[in-house]
Amino acid sequence: MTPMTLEAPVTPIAPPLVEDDGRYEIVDGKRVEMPPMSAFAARIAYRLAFRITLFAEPNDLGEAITDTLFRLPLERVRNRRPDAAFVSRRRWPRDQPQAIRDNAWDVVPDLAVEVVSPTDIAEDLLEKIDEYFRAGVTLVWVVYPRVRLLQVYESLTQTRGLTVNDTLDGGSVLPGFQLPLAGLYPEATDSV
Amino acid sequence: MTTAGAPLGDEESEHYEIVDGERVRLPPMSAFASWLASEIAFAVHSFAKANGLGEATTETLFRLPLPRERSRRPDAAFVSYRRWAKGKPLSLHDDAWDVVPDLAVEVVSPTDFAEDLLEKIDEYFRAGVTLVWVVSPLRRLVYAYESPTLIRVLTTADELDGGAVLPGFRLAVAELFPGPTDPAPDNGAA
Repeated sequence: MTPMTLEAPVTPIAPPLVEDDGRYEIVDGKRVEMPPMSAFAARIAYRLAFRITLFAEPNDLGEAITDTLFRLPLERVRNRRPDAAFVSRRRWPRDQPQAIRDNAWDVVPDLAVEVVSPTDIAEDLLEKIDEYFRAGVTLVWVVYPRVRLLQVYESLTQTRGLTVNDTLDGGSVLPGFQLPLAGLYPEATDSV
Repeated sequence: MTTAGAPLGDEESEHYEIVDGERVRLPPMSAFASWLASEIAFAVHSFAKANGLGEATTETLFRLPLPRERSRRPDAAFVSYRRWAKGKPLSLHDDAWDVVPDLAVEVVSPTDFAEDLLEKIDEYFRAGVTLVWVVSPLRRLVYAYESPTLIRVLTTADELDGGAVLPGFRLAVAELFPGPTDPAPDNGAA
């Protein structure tokens, strides 16, 4: 597997972007279609990425992005597509060039966000969280829109939940970032 | 609670829950998950009986006092004598036990949806459950929820403890995952 050095050449694993624009991940070298994301979940992912950008931009801390494939340096090829992610300038300097046609970003994000959709399988989600940490992700946020709970993982075994009455903070990844969660969730017609 | 559940007839033998008054079928449980649930129930039951604390059960439907009718079937559960007095009779015909368990255990099956699971955990606490253990056979982890926001994650190096519900109860997590099982997808043959 490609080591995580910034100088490492980009190894395209899946076909280049021009040929496929579906939502997929690469698991053990195989393309796995992802269930469609609800508009509701997409709005939550975007809101988080937007708030992170507002915070990170003035100090040039890094970039937030949604729905982007990342190539994870694991034993077997895994390209994962977190619903939102943050990549610090430390991990990807501002002037670092990137192949225009590469389907996946060859960097391990500092933060990965999963907004759980109704068809996501519990064990698959845990596997994904486990993978993120083994690949070198520092912080994982898992949002459960229906229950309006956000789980903060600092490792696979260090986690806590936050309700709409709590404030999310950026931990060591985004020190000083604060987001009251009351504003995160759009109004839903069918929440519990 | 006065909501009468469905009587337990021949046609009721498969596993279901009641969600918003509607019957919802549960996905089939793997043999390993069933074994795990009985293993935990057995350990809890033995400890609780010996200490006069209450009783454990598996695969039992509980009627939860929530705004909309919910009957849930945790894979294992513990009900203290404080919540259901020792010897208090139970209807022979009622499909659900009309009590809120102190402890609910969910063994995650490969087809369980993540959001349904969290919703169930949230419901247990809103109904008055004190402790929820969620077991992930694939990851070999136990998530001990003391509330929807207070979570301890236990590995095979740790011990489950009964907390305020079962003071003094301890169970090595490693005992729940003996021998070789299917390797977790990325830890295995690389």
